[in-house]
Amino acid sequence: MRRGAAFAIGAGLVALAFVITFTEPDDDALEQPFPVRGDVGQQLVASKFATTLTQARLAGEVDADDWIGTTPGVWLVLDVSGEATIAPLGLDAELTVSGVDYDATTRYGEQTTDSVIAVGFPLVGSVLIELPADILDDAGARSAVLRLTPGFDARLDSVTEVVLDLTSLERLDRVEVEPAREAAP
Amino acid sequence: MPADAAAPTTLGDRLRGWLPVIVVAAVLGIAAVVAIPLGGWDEVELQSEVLPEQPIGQPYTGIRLSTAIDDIYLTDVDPGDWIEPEPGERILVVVATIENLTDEPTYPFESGFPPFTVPGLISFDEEPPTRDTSTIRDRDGTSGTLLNPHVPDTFVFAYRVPATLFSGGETVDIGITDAVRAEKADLYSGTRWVGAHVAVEVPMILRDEQ
Repeated sequence: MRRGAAFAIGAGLVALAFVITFTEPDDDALEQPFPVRGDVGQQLVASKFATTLTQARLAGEVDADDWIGTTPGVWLVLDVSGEATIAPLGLDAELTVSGVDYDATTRYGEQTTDSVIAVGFPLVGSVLIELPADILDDAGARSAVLRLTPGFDARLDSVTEVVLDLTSLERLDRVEVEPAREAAP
Repeated sequence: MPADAAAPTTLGDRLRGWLPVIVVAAVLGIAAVVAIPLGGWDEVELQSEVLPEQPIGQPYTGIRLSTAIDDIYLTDVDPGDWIEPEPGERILVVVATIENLTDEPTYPFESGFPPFTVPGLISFDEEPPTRDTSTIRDRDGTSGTLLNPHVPDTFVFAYRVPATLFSGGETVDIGITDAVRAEKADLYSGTRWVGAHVAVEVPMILRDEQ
C-alpha cells in the first residue's frame, strides 16, 4: 500500500512537471503590458495617464493646412485626447492588425503623440497612421487594436486599448486635422 | 676493365631519368591548350560570385524590404535643402522606392543594415555621417523615413561627397541588400538581422545635373 502510494505520488509529480512545462508563459508573455480596454468615446484610465479616442475614420488624404498628406495606402485618422496623471509623459500609438504593427506617421509632427503632456493639461489632437491600401481585405481589419502607451517601451506597463472595426469606419477623400493643443482640464 | 665500371647508358635510360619533368610539362601543356581558348586561368570568374543585375526601377524583393533604384545623379543643391556642399564637394542623389515587407514599422537606414550600397560611399561597414546626408520623401518633401509594413514610398537620399569621388557619365553599381531574420531577437522590439549581403546590383549611369 505504501509502495503504491509512492508510485502514485511520483507519477503525479511527473505529470505536474509536464503541465508546468507546457503552460509556462513564453518570454513575450512575461513582458506584456497591462491593457485597460474600452470603446470609442470612453475615457480609459491607465496607471500614469488617461486617453479618450473620440473619433476614427479612414481618409485618402490629410489636410493639415501647411502640409497635405498623400499616401499610396490609406490614412487612419484618430481624434485622441491624452492626459498625464502622475508625471509629464509622451504618448505612443500603435495599431495592430492580424499581428502586423503600424506606427503613427513621422511625416506630421503635431499629433497628440508628438508632444510631452503635462499633468493637469490634457492634450487634444489627432493621430495619423498610414495603412496598406488593401487593409480592409485583411480578416483582422474587423478587430484592429489601437494601443496607446506611455512612451516607446511599454513592457509591464499600464496601457489603454480600443478595438476598432476598420471596415465599419467612414471613408473620406480628405480629412482636415489641426495641431494638437491643450484643452481645459 | 674494372668490374664496377658504369655500363653505357641508352637513350631510354636517360629519358627515364627525366620522366617526372616530362610528365609535369605534358600536364601543363594540356592544361594550357584547354585554358587559353577559354580566357586563361585568371580570367574565369566563379559563377557563385557573380551578382545578378537588377533593371533600373524594378523592385528587388528581399526578406526585409522590396527596393527599386529609380535614379542617381550628381548635383550642387540638396533636394531636401538640409545639407550644403562645401567647396570641393558635390551632392550625390539616389532615388529609391522602398516597401517594408516585415510585420513591424521600420526605418530603412536605421534598422541593422543599409537598404543599398554605393561603391566608395555606403557599405555594410561604413555609412556617411548623418551631418553629410539628408533624406526626404519624394511625394511631399517631408523628412520622416518611418515605413509602415506594405506601404511603399519613394525616397530621395542625398549625400555630400568629394567632387572627385564620382563623375557624370560613369557607371555606378548600386547594390541592393538583404539579410536573414535572426531566429530570436535580443531586443525588446525590432528584429536582429544576420548575414547581410548585396543580393543584386543595379548598374546606373550617373547623370550630372550641373
